[in-house]
Amino acid sequence: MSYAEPLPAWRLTFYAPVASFRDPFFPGLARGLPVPPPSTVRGLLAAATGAPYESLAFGMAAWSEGEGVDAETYHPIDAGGANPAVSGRVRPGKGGMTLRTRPFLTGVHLTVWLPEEAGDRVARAFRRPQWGLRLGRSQDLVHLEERLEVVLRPVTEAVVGSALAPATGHDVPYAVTHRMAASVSADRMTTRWTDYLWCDRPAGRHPVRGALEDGSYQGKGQALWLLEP
Amino acid sequence: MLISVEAGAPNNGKGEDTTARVKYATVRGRRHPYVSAQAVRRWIRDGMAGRGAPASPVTRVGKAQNRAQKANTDADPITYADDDLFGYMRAGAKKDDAATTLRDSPFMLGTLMSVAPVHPTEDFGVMSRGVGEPVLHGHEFYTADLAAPFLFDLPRVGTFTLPNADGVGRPNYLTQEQALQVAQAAALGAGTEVFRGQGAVRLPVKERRHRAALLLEAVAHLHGGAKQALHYGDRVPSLIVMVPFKGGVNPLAHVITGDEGGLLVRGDVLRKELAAWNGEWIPPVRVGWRPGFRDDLRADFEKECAQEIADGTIVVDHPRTVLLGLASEMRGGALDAWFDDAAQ
Repeated sequence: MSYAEPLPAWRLTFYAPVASFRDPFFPGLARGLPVPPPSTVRGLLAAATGAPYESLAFGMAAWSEGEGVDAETYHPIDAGGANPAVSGRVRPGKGGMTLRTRPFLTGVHLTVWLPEEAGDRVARAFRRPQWGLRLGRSQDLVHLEERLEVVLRPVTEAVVGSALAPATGHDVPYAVTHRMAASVSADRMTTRWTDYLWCDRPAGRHPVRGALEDGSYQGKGQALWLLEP
Repeated sequence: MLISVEAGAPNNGKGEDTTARVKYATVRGRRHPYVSAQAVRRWIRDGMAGRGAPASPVTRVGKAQNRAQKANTDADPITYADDDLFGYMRAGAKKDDAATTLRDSPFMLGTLMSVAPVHPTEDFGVMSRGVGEPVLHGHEFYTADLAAPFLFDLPRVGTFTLPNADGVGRPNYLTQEQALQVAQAAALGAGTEVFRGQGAVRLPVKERRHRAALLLEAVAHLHGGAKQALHYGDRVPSLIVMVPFKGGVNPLAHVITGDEGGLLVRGDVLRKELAAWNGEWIPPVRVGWRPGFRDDLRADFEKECAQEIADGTIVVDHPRTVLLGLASEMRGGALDAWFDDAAQ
């Protein structure tokens, strides 16, 4: 896709005091991702509209202020009833109550750009979201801080910052590739995995490919890439 | 909500050697102790059970049912308020290809994170009573104001979505076997309807408001956590701000915050947020503030919001009074409109 002319969009800014995103490529142990996966953000958009699924392309940038590791007690409920839960508690033992560590992020800042008519529809839904807004699990409540209309322009050089970019988006030397879920089907059976570039320290101005710029962002502009489901 | 911990250690992480460590997160290189959401949810859940909501009991099956004898509780939100309000996930056995049923919690509570960085104190303990060689042990404790956002999705209380053709992975759903229990729910007077675009079974509003009120009452009597014998402390929220909203947003992110100097309660932020979301919320905003807790901040807050307090848009009272008052209003049926999604 290429846009020769400016693209109208909504910019939404979110803040979550605490959130955690488990990396599903590490089964059996909890490794945390440093940014919310695009599929998680899609879920947030769908929570606002009430639709089972949102397939629009959007741009996003995210960073967090701090981190920690929590110790969590799991109480798995066995469907066969071998180890019953009594008032929400399960006996320890094989397949029973167990303690696991879970890394989490604090002060998570997420910015989402929603372009064109589809974006307009979704952004307006945030005035009265259908479901409670959260970024991840039910304890990761997220707050909508800002919602405004901006104009995006195609650029060849821009501030990369903490934007999530496709693998070919830019050549920032210290950017790390994270393989994350782009989208999960409505029946939860199939996940589409994609490689994304992300900088753990906000990057400055760099040449970019296939990017748009939000010139009004924090006075110095911000590159963003429209991420497909 | 904000819980004030005075020299306590209500939630501890992994111990090191002989020292028990409190849980903390690192933000910009500084330590912020926290109490995990899981822990506080447990306190509330236990409080509900203590207030007469039957916790999921155990049923026994055996020869009479032609099955191996075993005791079993069902993840059964229709019968048990705690399964309904706190959700669960019941994983099906792979070999049986059984469906996984889950219920997503309508009560969402964030992590109670210290509003300001705190350096926990390490207490050095000696067990020397009647032993030749004393046993050394240590533990950490701290004094901090812990704040967390929460969201209670009232229309979802006692509402259970049913599977449709591709109804896997919806926020909560019932399997075939649980659909059989719907008959039992119908006996309680539940009706089927469409909820947020999905078929759903709903308990009668009397039961739903009873469950919601139970949770508020449990928060008003909140107690629990670790190290009670050594660091006894009250866990009833010192400060709680609640506002009924028509949608799933929480505008109170920056009303209770902190900086290097400690706690901040921002009346100006609250007023601006309420203005920005005008039409999406129903007055009054209920503020519970314990007498004696940071009276200096309270005076500032009440001065900032004097106009709103005077005209009843903001009500400030003791947290227990506010919570129990809201619960009894619910039980009386005055707030039944809150238990349905507002018309667009």
